Amino acid sequence: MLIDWFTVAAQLVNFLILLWLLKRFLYQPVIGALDKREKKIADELKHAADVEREAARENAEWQQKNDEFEQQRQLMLKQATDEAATRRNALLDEAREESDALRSRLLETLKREQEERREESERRISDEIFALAGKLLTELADESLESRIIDKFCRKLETSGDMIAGRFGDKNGTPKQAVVRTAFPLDQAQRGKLSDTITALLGSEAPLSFELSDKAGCGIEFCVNGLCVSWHFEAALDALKQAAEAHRVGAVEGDSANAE
Amino acid sequence: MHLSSDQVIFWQSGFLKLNLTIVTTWALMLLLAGGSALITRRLSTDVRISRWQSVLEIIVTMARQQIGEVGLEKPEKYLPYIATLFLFIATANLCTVIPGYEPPTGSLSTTAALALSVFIAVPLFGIAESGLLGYLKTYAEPTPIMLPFNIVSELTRTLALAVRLFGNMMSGDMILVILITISPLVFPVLMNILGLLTGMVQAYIFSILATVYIAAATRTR
Repeated sequence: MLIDWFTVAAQLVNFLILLWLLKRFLYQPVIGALDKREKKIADELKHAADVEREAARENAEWQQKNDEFEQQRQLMLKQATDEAATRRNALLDEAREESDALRSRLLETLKREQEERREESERRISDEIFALAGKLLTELADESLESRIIDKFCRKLETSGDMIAGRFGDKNGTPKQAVVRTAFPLDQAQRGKLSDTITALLGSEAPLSFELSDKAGCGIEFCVNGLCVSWHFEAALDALKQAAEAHRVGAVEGDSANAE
Repeated sequence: MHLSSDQVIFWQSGFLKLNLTIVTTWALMLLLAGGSALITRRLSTDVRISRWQSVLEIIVTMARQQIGEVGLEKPEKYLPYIATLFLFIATANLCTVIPGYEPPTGSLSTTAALALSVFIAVPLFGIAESGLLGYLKTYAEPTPIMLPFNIVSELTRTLALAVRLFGNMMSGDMILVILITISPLVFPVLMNILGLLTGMVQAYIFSILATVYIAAATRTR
């Protein structure tokens, strides 16, 4: 007989014991370890996913902050640019105003200087001519220029005396203080001549005084009650200047005509 | 020359006896349980594990996967029984490489005991899953006419299980013995290698058939 029933029973029991032993020492521990590892890996994956999510959130937050910062920066830059432009325009306006003021002041100064220079040159020319005329007159006619001026002035008073005599007198016919202003000093003879002429003109002994003044220019002036009769060297000079100007204009026109 | 290791008796007292089959089985039990206890004493739950732990995990995982593939919904519930069947038969068959070793699976008593365990376990699992009435109903399905056929099938498949394993293992041994007498060189080695393959295949077939029977008994409708 191939089957021994005792052995069958014994093997069945043996198998059950082996089943229990393996369950105790193999399946339970191994499955436990597998489950623990799976759980651990799952936890780690979950943790990694959480970290990733957190990182993504932080990244988004950072991006948003960055955008905000960029916008703020742009805004501030724009404000600064606008402010700078405004300030620049204001400074430019100020500078322009200052420049205009300076230019006008400069022009004014230049004009004044030009005027002063012109006056100075006129004065010097006048002095030169006066000196030259005086010198020529002294050398040629043996007379001083001052004497000739006084003669001329006396003659003028005499010729136009009737016209002005009435104006010099007040209501009583007696003039008040009469003044003779000259640019040069007068000697006794010249004073006498002038006194005679004036006395003859006014017809009475008027109190007469002589003054040396720059205001008379290179000439002589006679004033009574605010009214003045004068002879100025400048007048002659002006006439000379006008003649020279007229001659110059004529010459220029002539040149233009020739050119045409 | 003896046909089965049952016939090698070391001690006997009436009905009780201690033969080579039982002793070899005890040795295999010691090897399996002792080895498992030794390896699982220091299990690591970390990602890095020892080689032996890796081997055990592969065995357990593969068994679980196979059970799941057959169609059982909770593999963990059936794993100890089916994996023990497979491990015991496979170890018993693989040890044939040891000279002088006689596999306990070459004894019809052992294979009959294993087949009996399946014969008992299938209804137990079936009743645990769908109740006594639910389980008994499966014999009358698809129609009550099938009842006698189902009962006969239940008995014959148990017999087939026992005889298939026994026949394969015993024949392997027998062929080896006969070949040694004819051609003492090369051929026995080749046949031994073939015997290893057959042993593994038989272990797989036995356990997978047990799984299929359990699946058939516990399937939900």
